[in-house]
Amino acid sequence: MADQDTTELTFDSVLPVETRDALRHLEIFARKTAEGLLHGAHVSRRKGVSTEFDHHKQYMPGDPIKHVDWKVSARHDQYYIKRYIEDTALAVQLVVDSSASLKQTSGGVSVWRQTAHIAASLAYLVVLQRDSIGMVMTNTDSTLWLPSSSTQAQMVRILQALASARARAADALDTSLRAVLERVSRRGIVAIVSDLMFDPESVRRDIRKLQARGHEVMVFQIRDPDAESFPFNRWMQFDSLERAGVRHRVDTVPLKRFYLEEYRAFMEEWRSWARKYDVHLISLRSVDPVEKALGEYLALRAEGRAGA
Amino acid sequence: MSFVYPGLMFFLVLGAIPIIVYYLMRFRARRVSWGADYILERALARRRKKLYWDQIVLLALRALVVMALVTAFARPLAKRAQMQSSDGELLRVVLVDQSYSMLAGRGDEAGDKVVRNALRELVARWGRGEKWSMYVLGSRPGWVVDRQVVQDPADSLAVLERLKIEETAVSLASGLKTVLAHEAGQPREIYIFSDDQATSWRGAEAVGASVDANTRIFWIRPTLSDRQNLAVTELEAGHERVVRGQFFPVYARVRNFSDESVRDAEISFLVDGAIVGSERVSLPPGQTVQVRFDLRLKELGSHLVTARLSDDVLAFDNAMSVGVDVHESVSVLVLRDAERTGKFESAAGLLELAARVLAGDEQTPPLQVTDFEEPEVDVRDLAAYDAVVLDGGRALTPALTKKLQEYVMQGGGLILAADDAVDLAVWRDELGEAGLLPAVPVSVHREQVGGEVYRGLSPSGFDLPALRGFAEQSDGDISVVRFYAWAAFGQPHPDARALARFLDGSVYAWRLRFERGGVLLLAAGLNSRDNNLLVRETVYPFLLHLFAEAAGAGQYPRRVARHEPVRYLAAGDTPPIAVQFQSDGHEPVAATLSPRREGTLVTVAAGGDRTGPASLLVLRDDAREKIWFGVQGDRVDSDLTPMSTELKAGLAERLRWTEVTSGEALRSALDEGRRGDEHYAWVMLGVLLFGVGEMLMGLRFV
Repeated sequence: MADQDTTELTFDSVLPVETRDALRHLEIFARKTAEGLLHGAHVSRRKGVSTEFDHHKQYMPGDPIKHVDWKVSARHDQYYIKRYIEDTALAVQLVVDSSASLKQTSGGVSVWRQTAHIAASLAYLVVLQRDSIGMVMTNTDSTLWLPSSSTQAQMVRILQALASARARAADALDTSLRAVLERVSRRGIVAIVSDLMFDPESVRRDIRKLQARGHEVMVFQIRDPDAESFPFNRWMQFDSLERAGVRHRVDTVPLKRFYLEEYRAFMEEWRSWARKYDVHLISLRSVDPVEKALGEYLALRAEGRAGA
Repeated sequence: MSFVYPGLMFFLVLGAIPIIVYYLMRFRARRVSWGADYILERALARRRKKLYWDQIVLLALRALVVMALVTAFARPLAKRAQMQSSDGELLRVVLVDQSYSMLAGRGDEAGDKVVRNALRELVARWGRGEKWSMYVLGSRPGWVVDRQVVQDPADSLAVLERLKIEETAVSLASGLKTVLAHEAGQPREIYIFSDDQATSWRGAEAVGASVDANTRIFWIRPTLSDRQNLAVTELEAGHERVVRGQFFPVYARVRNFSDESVRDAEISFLVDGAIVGSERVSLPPGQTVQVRFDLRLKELGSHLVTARLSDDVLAFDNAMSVGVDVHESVSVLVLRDAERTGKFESAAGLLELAARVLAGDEQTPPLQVTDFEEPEVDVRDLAAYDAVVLDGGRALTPALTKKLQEYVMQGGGLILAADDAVDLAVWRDELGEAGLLPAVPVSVHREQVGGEVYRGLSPSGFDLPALRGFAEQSDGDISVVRFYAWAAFGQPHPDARALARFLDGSVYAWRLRFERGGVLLLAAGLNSRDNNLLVRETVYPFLLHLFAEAAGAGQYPRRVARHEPVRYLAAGDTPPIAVQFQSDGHEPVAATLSPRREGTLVTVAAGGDRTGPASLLVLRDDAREKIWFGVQGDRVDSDLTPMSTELKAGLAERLRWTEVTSGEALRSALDEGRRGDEHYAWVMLGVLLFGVGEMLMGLRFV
């Protein structure tokens, strides 16, 4: 319920000190192979020469001759080339939904605040690991693009961007994803932070494309408690946050059951789809503590059990 | 379908309340900014039609619950219960007793109040289209409402407001017969509003043989915890024309109409509304007592004398009134024989003596006596006197007879004193011819004055209220008066009345009254000549009463029966310009004025229709005066004795009536009678079903 506008954020409130302290011991790893310029803690998709041996592969015309393992080739009377595991820096691309629907507020906490909080936390974690992070934040009015960087300055830029952003206009998450598709060639993690309150078809399509490009996609869904429980029992007029002038005057008593059914079905659709396409869907309420939710998720992820 | 309370069906409009509330809530919707409108729109898009129909069904159920509740309160009746008549309706017949015994009871328990309230309540619950009749038992029993269809219950109630208790007795037997014959055979409900007075129900033994199965009868009978009823049955003034400062008796007759003795009931006497004295009476059941009260009025003019009993269960019959006129004195002209020159040879001597004695300390004597011995008399001279005494010795000529006749016809009081010198033959010829003889004097008997043979007056022989005190010897023993000469009478005039008798029963005083004027014929002289009248002190009041009676002949009665014409001669120099008559409980009406030689005759032909005071307001150019009358009716409905239990049981068996004592009890009886015929339970079941349906619809959304 948008009972109090808490979408106004300051630089400090985007990522409070206590959150940083809680996140300090966490690490984020790429679940898939990553590409990077720097050596790092993440498994690179590129097989290099000076790294740890991985396996042999039968030689195919075009393979570099220098990678042929002659000893093994002589033993098996066939050419084999050596494959190596190469450590690389993690590249994370944040896609932040800044549509007006995120101004939805319950219990004094807006969805946007939680969205910014998640985005900032992820950025902090990535930069802390000296990995690079970029951010794209789009609505139908504006698009903000922050190219990837692993510097502390990038962290500051991201926090400033989140603090100064205003959730407004209609949703344009698919635009953000298309920007990522167009501009990011290096494989990495694409972290989407949104309330997902839109027609998901185009977004899902773009996520699939990202996956096809080798990106690992994780979706942070921020749920508003009121939108989730629909705590009304009288006639209400719902004024759309995203579309000016659109309003629905309804008796919520008979509507409530149908609304909740729709809500649950919508969420279940996302979960099913995420499971099906190996997309990490992390759903948390706007009032939940970010560090706790993020910590639990990253722990599970590190154990390889995280998922939708 | 009909209803016990059809008026409540107007409240069916309350069924609109859920719809009004729906729109009210809709317009008062709370606004909220909403981000999840994608989900909201998905829910609305998929369920809009269903939601729409759900709302319609919910609203309909809610409206039906309200309407069913209203219907339940209106208490619908099954058609079969209405005992459909040929034109499809139940005829309701009301029989109302409007006799004055219905006023019996104290405060709100008075029968009339109980009946009116019950009747109002009954009529008010009849809805539009219902048919009813009402038979009123009053002085002129008849149908006040005859098979009238109710258009507006207020009109029906207005009919009830016109009902008035009347001073009459009624026959419920006759009324019930009429009502039972009304639309016999048709489905009817008959409501009898009456008390259980035995006199009203006399002859009801034969009623009820024709009651059919379609007729239901309810008897609404007010209860009477106390039936001890005394009534003033008559109030009589000794004279209606009295002399100022002179005592005159007033007699009230009181009857105990109950079957129990009454002890020490108080009766008060009032003059012009102010209590002047009271007496106590004790009466066995069914007995009548006469209460005497001596009054003396000091103000000239018309006065109202009332006798009133202390309040009992029926106050209506507790009072009665009479009007009296107070005059300065009685002026008497004595037509004396010129030869009678001795002091007591003519009546004048005695009457002058009487006047002095009666005057006492008063300056004006009650009797103004004029001695007249001239041979010629002018009628205009006579008219100035209230009474004229024709001494026995006065020579009676045809001319004098004619003048006396004229005097009497103009309202004069002629006193014929047949003393020992009377020429009876001349009297018979002249006065008899003129119609002035109440009885024919046949002879004069003379005895030795002071001898053994004489006549005395009989104390039991007085037939004049004013003289009744002598009969009781409360005013003195008049029997000590002795007459040594007296006349004997033959055939009396048919209208003559013997006012006083001798001890042997023969008549001493005859009275003949005309419309105005009258003649008193005395069997003995008023002189003391030859000592034929032995005077005692008690004779003076006696004489005053006789002369006041003679003088009163010129005045129309101030005590009239119900519906008896009221008349009054308005004498004086200025004739009245208008006269209004007002009787108890009625608006004033104009009286008829007829100029006469001696004044203006005021007439109210219809008289008063209710026992109580009445008055004529005489308006003249220079003055106005009120002349009081007492209207006195018979106490025909004062006996509150209930009908016998045998008669009541017999009627109950034949009429199969339901007996109730109040409007509330009637309502309960009607409701009880219809309970099995009501759709009440079905409607309540409907309410329950609609309510459960509404709840289930609501639960679907939870």
